[in-house]
Amino acid sequence: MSDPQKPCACSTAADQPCAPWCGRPPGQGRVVGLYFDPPMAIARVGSSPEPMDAYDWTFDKNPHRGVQTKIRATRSLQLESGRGDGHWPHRLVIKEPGEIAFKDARGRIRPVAPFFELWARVQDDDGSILAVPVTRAFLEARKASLRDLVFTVDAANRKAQSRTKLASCAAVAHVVFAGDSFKRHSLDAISPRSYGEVPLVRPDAPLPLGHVQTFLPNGEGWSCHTRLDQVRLRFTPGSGATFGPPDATTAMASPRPPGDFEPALTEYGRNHAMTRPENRILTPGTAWSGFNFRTGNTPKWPTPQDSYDGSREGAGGSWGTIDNTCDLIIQAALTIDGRVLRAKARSFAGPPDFAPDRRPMYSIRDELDDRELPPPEPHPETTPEEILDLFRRIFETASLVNLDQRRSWALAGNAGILGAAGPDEPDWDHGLSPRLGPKTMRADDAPYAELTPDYTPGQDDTRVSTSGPNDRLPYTQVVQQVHARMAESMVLREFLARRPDRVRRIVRPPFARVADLPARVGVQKPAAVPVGKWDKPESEGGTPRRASPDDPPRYRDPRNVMDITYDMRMPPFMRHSMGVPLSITRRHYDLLMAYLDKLETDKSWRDAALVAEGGPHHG
Amino acid sequence: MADAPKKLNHAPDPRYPQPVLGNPASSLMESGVGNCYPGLEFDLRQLDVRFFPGLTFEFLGIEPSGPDGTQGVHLVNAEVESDPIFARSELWLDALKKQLNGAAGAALGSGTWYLHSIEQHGRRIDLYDFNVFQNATLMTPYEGETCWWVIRGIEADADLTIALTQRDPTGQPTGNPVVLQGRRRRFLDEDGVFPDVYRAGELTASMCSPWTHDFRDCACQYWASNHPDVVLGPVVGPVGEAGTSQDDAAQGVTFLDWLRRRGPWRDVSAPATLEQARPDDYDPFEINLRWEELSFVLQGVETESKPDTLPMAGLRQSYPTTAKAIEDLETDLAPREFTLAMSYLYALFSLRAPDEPTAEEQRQWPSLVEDLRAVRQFILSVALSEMTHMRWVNQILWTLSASGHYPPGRRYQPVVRPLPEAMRTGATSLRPASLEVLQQFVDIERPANQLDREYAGLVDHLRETPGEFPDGLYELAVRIDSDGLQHFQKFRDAAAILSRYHLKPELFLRQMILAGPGDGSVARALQLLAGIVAATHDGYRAEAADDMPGAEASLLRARAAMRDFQAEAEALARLGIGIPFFAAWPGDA
Repeated sequence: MSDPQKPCACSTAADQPCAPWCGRPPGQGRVVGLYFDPPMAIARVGSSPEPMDAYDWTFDKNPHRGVQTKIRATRSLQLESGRGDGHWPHRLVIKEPGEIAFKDARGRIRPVAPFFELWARVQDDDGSILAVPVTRAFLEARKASLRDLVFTVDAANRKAQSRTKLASCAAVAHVVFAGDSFKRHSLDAISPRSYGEVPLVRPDAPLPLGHVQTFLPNGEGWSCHTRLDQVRLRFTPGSGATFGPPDATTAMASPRPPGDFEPALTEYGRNHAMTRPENRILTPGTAWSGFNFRTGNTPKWPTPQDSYDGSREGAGGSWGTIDNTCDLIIQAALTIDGRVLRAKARSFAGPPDFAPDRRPMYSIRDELDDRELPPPEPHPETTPEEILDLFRRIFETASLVNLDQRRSWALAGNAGILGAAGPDEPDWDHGLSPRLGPKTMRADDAPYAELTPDYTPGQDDTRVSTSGPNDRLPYTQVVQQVHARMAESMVLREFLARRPDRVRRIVRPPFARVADLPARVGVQKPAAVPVGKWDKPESEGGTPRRASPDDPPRYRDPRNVMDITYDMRMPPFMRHSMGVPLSITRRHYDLLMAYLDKLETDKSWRDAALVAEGGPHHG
Repeated sequence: MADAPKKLNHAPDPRYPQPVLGNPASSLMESGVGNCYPGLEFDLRQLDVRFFPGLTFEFLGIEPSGPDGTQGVHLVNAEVESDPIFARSELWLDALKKQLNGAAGAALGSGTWYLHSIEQHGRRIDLYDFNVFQNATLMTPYEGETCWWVIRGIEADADLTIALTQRDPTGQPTGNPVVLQGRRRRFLDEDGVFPDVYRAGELTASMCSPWTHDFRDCACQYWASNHPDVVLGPVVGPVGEAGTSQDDAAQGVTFLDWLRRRGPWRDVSAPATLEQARPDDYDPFEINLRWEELSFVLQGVETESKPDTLPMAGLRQSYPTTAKAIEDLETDLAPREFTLAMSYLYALFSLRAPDEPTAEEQRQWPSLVEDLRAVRQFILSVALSEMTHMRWVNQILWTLSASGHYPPGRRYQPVVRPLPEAMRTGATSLRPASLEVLQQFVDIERPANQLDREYAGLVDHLRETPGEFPDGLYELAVRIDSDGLQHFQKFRDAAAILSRYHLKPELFLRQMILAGPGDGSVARALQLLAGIVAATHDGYRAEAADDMPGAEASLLRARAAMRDFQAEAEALARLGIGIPFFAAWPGDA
């Protein structure tokens, strides 16, 4: 193995340690596997031909703005024509950080087109396994070449197929190319079909789902932190445009608010073009044109069902439109010593991230961790930081939420579910706690409501807040003010330590694991979920206390109607998967509860706040 | 003073995940939204369609006409060959393969089957609701959404038993169930990729078509982190003053609906309901061609590019020693925050309440009630914020004390009192919210004025003194400093709103006279105020001593007293009586 301390060819990385593989002979070790980094990446649509530059998240400490996450330009990879005439093959060159522009000079959004680096796992004679970049030199040292590296990319848009249940309504692209083919490989999708089926997307008018490309190795100015000779594949998504059959031209838009099905006023809506003329390339008369989620009055998947253009106007028939987003599987295959090694990656073309310095409090990563990782154990070195980061993300999301609008919408939904005489009846939820009607977040919602009534004395017990150009969304202001504080480490830690029961009460629990649910709602008792609250520190032989009837519930039951109504528990009035009230993930919830328990019962956890970076100071 | 900080005294920066070279952070899974109905980047619910190896399900939701007995978890396919997981050799998979290749699989090959129950760790959940009648028990299948959440609660790597049944035309399960033993599929392979069983296009198949449909039309609105609800509008008022910039996010104060139709007209502020927002938002279909007009948002403000960041200019010489900083916090900053909070509260109580204008006044001045509500909200918000700042200054002090930064022989003592000069000159510190007084408040909070400079000095000291301060102290000082800008904006706006009544100040001001310290009418109010101060004092002391239950009890007592005090002060103000707040410290003057 290379000596990390040993100087190597990296002349540009004086402030960074060398990679473990740096300076190592390319032929050293036996290849045991290939993989892509990142294994999965989100692409984001935009019609500009200039992809988005690179940036990362960093921490802004400007005294005038308060500490918060911001984005910072980082080194981008730019294409440079290998022939000097602007055309392929291209090599990659470093573009130093500059201003981050989200749109080009013509106002078109710059797409996010992620790179995927190809790496090999190599085993040395001592049994150790090291990741090394796959380069031309790496391949040649193993009597292979870039030509022996075969890429296969499968991309598809199956949105229409998922509704009509016909593969002939899918749009599928499949490209195969060798590692020395540096041209752009267009992901032109067509509909698969068998005899007699009418394809939604015809071969003579394919759906452009984007393109993939690999690059000429570039050894100039080499450093182990840039590795421009490494094999990289880039996926550039489609433009995000809407495509349709020739009759998908203009339509009257429902003037009703989102989610409102009533078609009665459709005739008064405004008329709009829904596709550009050049995008009316789909086959007319397929099952997708005129598809209607109401057909047969039968239950359907996917939900929500009114999720296509045309579903909310008139009878609800589909205009037969699809977009050119997709998700795709990228595969690299390399045969070495008669053995085929494969690496796989996935990408998903989604909408632009319009607030890129505001991170989701419930991200895709959170959801995957919640499904795949074992229950978290609190640790004094990592848990405070993880919980702080969660609250920072909560602030980042909350800072862009129109809580007044969320609240009025959710309370109207509650009234519908529970049969209130009207959503604005001030006391229809009398006797319920937390409140579900206009008194939610008001003084009558104690003990859940505490600060909000004090901060909004001008508000009455109404579902719709009194908001004008001057007083500006009172509940929205409060949520921003309160959560900005909670993003501070000292304020958060002190709050959690001093008011653990408040946090236990105010945070909405996640839905239960199967084993924790009662067999029948309201009949059997649910499993006794350990609350984790310790009678004394674990180090002193403490044991976790079991739940008592006085404890706030530690989970919700999706079968229980009261668990799918919206109240002010955190996060308030936001929607989770399948259209029910949002909670943080089970992992985050369990970790937060465990952290509260530690702070409440173990002084050493509270004292962590007072330890300086260099250790306790005794001045 | 060092040119650059040697070591920042702050909590470790968040461990942000790093994209690979060339990729923006918005390509990370951490940037995508994880709740799906149906989702933004892709639909994670699609993973559960194949939660059980060999089987494919769909989660049938009820459409507007209601249930018909076919709702729930419908089996689409049962097949071993098309599921690569069976290429692995594991005992449980081998056993499951035998079941699916045997009688169970054969039974599932014909007819319509539904998931009936799931069982894990000995707990079996039937996916049916029960209605009991005198002569019958009726089973109603839960709809797909409810069942999905039950399935979402299945743990990985634990034995799992599922049962499938067929149904009669009324939705009642019939015949013999097919029972299968296995486990929930793992959704990521060892390289962190979704398994091959999910074909290209499956993870986005349930998304809206086109994507712009849901982006505009979803009733739940979308995830604010990627699709904002409200953003701050363009800067109005003074721009470019010291310490501020037009690019500074904190300058914008008007909430705008981000989905509003762009055009040459002036933007209207964001409304409080979806219905009110609807006419000014992009229409369905219209969004398909105009989505690229939507603005990117940084630090809550619409922009098209990353704004330059303000330099962290030191506006005041840093403290020479920590002892000097402590002295300043104790004798100046904490009392100053308290004094300001009291002054602002006095001004608040001098304003008429929204229910006070007469019908005739409301007819002549249609916006008067709303203006009063808004200005009172602004001033209350700043007053509460100043009280929070006083608490934070105390927290900084007790943290410095506990970490050994106090001078020898000294330790933290709560500071809950006004400035000495305020006690001496209460009559001039406590004034009604005339336009002149509001302008003075604007000047007090103006960036780069005295208060801002005070905190900038603290920030500089914490930043530039080699690291020996507890985690988070620096960030807290920054937070106090940055709040000042919002106070400035709120007072600036309050003054602007009320300036339209400059010829008739009686429209917004109560005729309130500051009572003397011995005036019997304010005795109860002063008593309540003293109680607030005492309880807060006790709370801080307990908290500094790590007595959290004691701190909580005291601070709840203080909060309850504050509510009583507020009610008393409002009642007195309606009678034209102003409370001499600082009379509670006669001995200190």
